Amino acid sequence: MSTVAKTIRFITGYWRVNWQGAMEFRASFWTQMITMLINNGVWIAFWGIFFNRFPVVKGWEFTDVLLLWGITAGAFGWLHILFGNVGRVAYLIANGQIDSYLTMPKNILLHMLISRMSFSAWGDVLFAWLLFFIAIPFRIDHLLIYIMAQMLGGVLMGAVILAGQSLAFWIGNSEGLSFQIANAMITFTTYPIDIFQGFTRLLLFTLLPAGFISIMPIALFRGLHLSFLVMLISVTILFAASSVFIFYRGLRRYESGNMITLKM
Amino acid sequence: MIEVNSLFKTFKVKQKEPGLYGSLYSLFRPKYQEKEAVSSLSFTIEQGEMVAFLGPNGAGKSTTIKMLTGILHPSGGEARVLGYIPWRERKQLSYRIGTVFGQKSQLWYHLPPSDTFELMARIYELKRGDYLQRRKKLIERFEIEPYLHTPVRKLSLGERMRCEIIAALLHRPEIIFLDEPTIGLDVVVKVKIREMIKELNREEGVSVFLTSHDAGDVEDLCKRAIVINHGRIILDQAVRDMKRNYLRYKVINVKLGKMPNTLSMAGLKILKQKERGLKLEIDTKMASIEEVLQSLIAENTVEDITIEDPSMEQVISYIYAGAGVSG
Amino acid sequence: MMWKKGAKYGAVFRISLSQQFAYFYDFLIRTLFLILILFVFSRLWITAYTSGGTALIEGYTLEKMMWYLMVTESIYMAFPALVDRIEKDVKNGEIAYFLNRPISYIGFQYGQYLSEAVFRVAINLCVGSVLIYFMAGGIPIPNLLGFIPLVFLALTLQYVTVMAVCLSSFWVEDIRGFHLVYSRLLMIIGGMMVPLEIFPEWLQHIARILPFQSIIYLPASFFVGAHTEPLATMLIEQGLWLVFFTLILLGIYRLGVKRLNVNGG
Repeated sequence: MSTVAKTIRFITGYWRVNWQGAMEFRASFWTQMITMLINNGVWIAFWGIFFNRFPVVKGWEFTDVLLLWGITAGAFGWLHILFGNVGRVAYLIANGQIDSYLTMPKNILLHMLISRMSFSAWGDVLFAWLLFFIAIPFRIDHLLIYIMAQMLGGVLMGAVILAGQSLAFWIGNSEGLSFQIANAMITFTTYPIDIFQGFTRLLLFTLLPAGFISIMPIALFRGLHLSFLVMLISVTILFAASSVFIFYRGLRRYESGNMITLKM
Repeated sequence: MIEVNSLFKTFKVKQKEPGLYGSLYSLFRPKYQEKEAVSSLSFTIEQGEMVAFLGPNGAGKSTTIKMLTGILHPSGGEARVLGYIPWRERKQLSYRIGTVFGQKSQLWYHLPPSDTFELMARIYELKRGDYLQRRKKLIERFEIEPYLHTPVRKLSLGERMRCEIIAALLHRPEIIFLDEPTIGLDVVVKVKIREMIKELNREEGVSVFLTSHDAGDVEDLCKRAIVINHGRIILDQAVRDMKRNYLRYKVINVKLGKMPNTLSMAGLKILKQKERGLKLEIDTKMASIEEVLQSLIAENTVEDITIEDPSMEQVISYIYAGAGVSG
Repeated sequence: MMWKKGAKYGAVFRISLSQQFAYFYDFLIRTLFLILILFVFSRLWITAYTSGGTALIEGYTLEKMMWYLMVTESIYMAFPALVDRIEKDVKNGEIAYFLNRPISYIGFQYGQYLSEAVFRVAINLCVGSVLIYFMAGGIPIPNLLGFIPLVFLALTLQYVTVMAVCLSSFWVEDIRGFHLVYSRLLMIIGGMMVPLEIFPEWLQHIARILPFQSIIYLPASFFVGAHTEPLATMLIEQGLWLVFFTLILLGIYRLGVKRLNVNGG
């Protein structure tokens, strides 16, 4: 069996086991899924009230925000279903649980990420598809763009989250900070980019690339802007590569054993 | 098998003065001190040996194990495990070693052990037929057939530990690193698990590298003990000899009816005395427990009594103090 | 003699201060999140007002809106994580120790809750005020004599309702679902995200008769001077809800205790 095939078997093995875990805790699974739906739904209610008062803001309408939430929730959703440990890497590092992974023959990062599945993320995915059918008329090109937007958005989100989590290799007790980085990223993706100007806007297209996601309804669904798409793909690849690089840099530091702080 | 030569590891440790000002100070102007966790370790372990790796907390045990399993890079020296340099060839080595950490579980908590075994098969890329055969054998050997499909969270600690060991053995490792494997288990289960491990060693020649604070684990499983303290090996001998030399001490805590007369007996040492409570140490080579007890009861009323093995710490301190040489 | 005593208290103070240092870090993180949220919300409303070209919406100027949101967020984000504590107590049976003295357990938790909540509200308001002042200017001068009791009653009412929700863990395995629904209702119907005046008519009617707005909307609207009712009416409204939910809470507690006794924990 080739290496690729073995790796696929490895990954799908985990995904299947994760799913079985969800079925084992069926009640919890459904509860978490539904509460996430409600959670997201509240925000849609808010935007409904908002756009009831302000039908158009900087070119944005209610439909655009629905799409935005759909993309964001969908991206977050698949990321946390398939790579559910992405938001817990800092915890695993701080608690030494990374050691178990280090003694096994598979790629550390991949292994860590796939060994958990978020239950509530299924609520996000369901939510994303409900919105898709409510927000815009069904067209094949819309569907394809929607899927692509979620895929790229998820990778971009994952890259930022992972980079934040990898801080644990350098800073003790980084879990709070790492969580807030992820939080900031996700928060910014759920607001129309055009409410931000100047320095903030620049920030959202550089250091914290949430802007690439929060512009998608305008840049992908009101006519597909190819230049943007190219930029989006490049930025996603760049951030993904950087994030993985940061993780492995941190891992090297971990292996040299200089993460220990003792009180004298 | 395992060859270690002058292995050492120093850590840069951040120095923090106690108190509030210290915390602030260390934030802005950190001072580092070099701490030698492991200094110039050398030993060799042959195929099929069962070795206990002992030492008090902070002695450098886990640092050494981490270096041998490739998790940690040493500061200097050499080591080879199964011919591999662990920290350089970690992946290749990992196919051939197994680890069981008593405190950290490798099993998936909410799933039955059978699912964890499935995953292990994929992680270690085991051939289907091979894996199934191996699995069957181990399940029979460790007697977990009835719980194979019960979620791990519903199993008792003993059942869980057996599953952990199986999970670590599925890929036929040539060495297993066991860290506190019987912690928290009751005596009957401990004995059973040790028996199973010994059988496996006899039949398949699996080497065992054991860290444990349980003297019973050491005595029952291992022929050889390496004792480490402050990062250095202070003893490397057969357990039988170590036992003869150092494990012959027993500690008695006794509370007497009234202040005792002077207690003196060859082989009896008073470790601590507080009014009517005494902590005594018996050298069983010189005086049997029975003799001591008889003497105590003859001259005193005994209100309360416990008899203990010396702790691993105490044994280490005996060794370190050079207490008792063979013969 | 005095010097020794002084030194002792000095030591206690320093030690507890350095303990606070550990909490401080966690605290800082939470405060950063408050700033983030307020910043994003502010940008949204600034954009809405300026691109809409209106200066006044249902009586709210842009400044008033932002100060309003600052207060709602400050209060909402000050709520301690009661769910975690209570869930733990019920699951591991700790609550059994307090079984026969409901006032004691509920009172004890209330004391802890209130001290933490008041502290956090104060900090949030300070930090939030600085941010909003820089973004929108125009500090409203609230009537503290009225504002403080409104906040106090709001926090107490919040405590009582969340406690009641949490204690349903006597019957239900996972109460987080209920708690989440409650806190989301609080967010939207309670007026945390937008003032009630912005709601469509039908939703406003519903919101005004529910208890959620007593917790968030009332104190915040009073703070910015957007309230239409006299202070006394608002306090009475809060008070009535408080009485109502306290009775429910005690009822749930007694029923739960009975169940615990019957089922042997």
